[in-house]
Amino acid sequence: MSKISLYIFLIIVYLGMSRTFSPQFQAQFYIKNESSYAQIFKEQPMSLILMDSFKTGFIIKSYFQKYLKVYAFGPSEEIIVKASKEFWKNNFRNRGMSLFRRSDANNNNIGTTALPPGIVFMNNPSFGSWRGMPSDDYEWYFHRAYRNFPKVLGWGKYQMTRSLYLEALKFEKKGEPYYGPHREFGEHGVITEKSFPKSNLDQRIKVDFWEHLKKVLQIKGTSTNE
Amino acid sequence: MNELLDKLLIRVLLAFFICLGIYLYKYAHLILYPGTKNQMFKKFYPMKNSADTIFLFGRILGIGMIFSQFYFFMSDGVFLALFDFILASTISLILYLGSLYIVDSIVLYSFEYHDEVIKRENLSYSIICFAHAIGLAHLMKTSVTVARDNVNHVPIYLIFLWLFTMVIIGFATKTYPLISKFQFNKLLVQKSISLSLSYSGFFLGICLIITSSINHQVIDIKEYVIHTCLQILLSLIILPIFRKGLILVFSFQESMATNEIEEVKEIENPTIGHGIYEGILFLTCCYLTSVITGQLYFGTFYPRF
Repeated sequence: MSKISLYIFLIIVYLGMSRTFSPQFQAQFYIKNESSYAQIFKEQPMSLILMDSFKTGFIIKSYFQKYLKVYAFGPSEEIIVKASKEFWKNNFRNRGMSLFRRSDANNNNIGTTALPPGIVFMNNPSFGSWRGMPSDDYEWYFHRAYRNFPKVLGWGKYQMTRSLYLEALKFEKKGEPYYGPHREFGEHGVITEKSFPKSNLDQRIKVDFWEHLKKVLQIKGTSTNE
Repeated sequence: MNELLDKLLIRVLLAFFICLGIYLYKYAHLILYPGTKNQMFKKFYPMKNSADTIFLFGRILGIGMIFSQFYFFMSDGVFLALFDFILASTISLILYLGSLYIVDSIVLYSFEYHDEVIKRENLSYSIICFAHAIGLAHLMKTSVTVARDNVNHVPIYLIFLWLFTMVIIGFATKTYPLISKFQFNKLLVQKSISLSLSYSGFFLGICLIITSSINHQVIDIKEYVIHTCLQILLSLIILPIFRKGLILVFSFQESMATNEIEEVKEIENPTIGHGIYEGILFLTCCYLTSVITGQLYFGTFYPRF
């Protein structure tokens, strides 16, 4: 019994020491749940868009999320964080959505419901204005200083309308994700697939077994390629 | 033809230099064991004292192993090639002899070379010293490789690596009673070959593990030390798996005793088979462990972000 205890102790010490001294673990952010965002991302106004979700490992998997941090007063940045399994699974279908928003320094003005990207900048006269459309709706236009935002936020040529914005606010109040009037955003959404295609970071290059075997059995210098 | 002859001459010259290094050991032996002046400078009859032969050839083999790690870069001329070789080999030789002295002092603290080898012809003592010589030479060889391949200041890093490995090996040798049931000092007095074989396997095994643990890139001293300690810790986790696995697969029976009294007798007067089994099992497990800890490359299996 004491030998088993000693063995378990050794394993724990090894894992603990590896975890403590590994620079990889020290530098990496960990998202346990929605409340973790506010402690990590302090900038405002900003929108955090989920670009991709992937997992690595053989038996015990590690779960990762790749985000695009769009900050109004600085360059946008891609960040890869480790996430808890539950949180990762809950947000797997939210690719291309804004999972965290902070409109100002006040911690009350943060949102963690999955909404189309860039909602935080809309209806804010500092960033742009509404313009009337022939269909009695209004379209959001960014000021010249922020003219690249539709591209950065992944809207492309999609028109973000006032009705979409109001609908998004309703869903946010209910605490439910909103994927757009025709599910343009989120996993398999047309806009998302165009702007945030799956990067397949967890997919290794597939090597054909027979090709590999041929390579292994080949005697060097007998290649007939030339 | 001229070129070939010239190359041959250079090789002969360098062979003389290696012989000179071995010759210098004779004097170093006097410093390490001051009471052996008469014995070292008179005629040596290997048939008379096999214990001394094993002891001496262990050291010579060890020095040879260290020299095997050096290169001669002839592009800058013979003088510079010799200078680099002499500098590195002198430091390595001094450190190697120092490590032999330290390990012998730690493990064989209550025994004297002069008493055991010259007077008592204790073969067990010589085999243990032989294992020390080979194991430490292997360790020194790896230290030289790590220092030369990773950093520019070879002498400084070599000294650092030497000090570091000496601390680890010092602690490691003290774990022998945990591995074996043999009573080291008592059986060594009795000239037990079984003990020497068991201990030799143990010592060579720990040298293999330490060698595999220190054999990685030195970028930052702190990180290097932590990485090495983690590698050793990992080896301690892997080692019992191989030990249990081998015992299980081949149904090794560690004792033939049927009761406690017989078991005590078995430990007090172990057979050579018992010693061979203990030593070879530990050495095999250590070798297999070093394969797992030192030669497993994950590559991009775990992408780093």
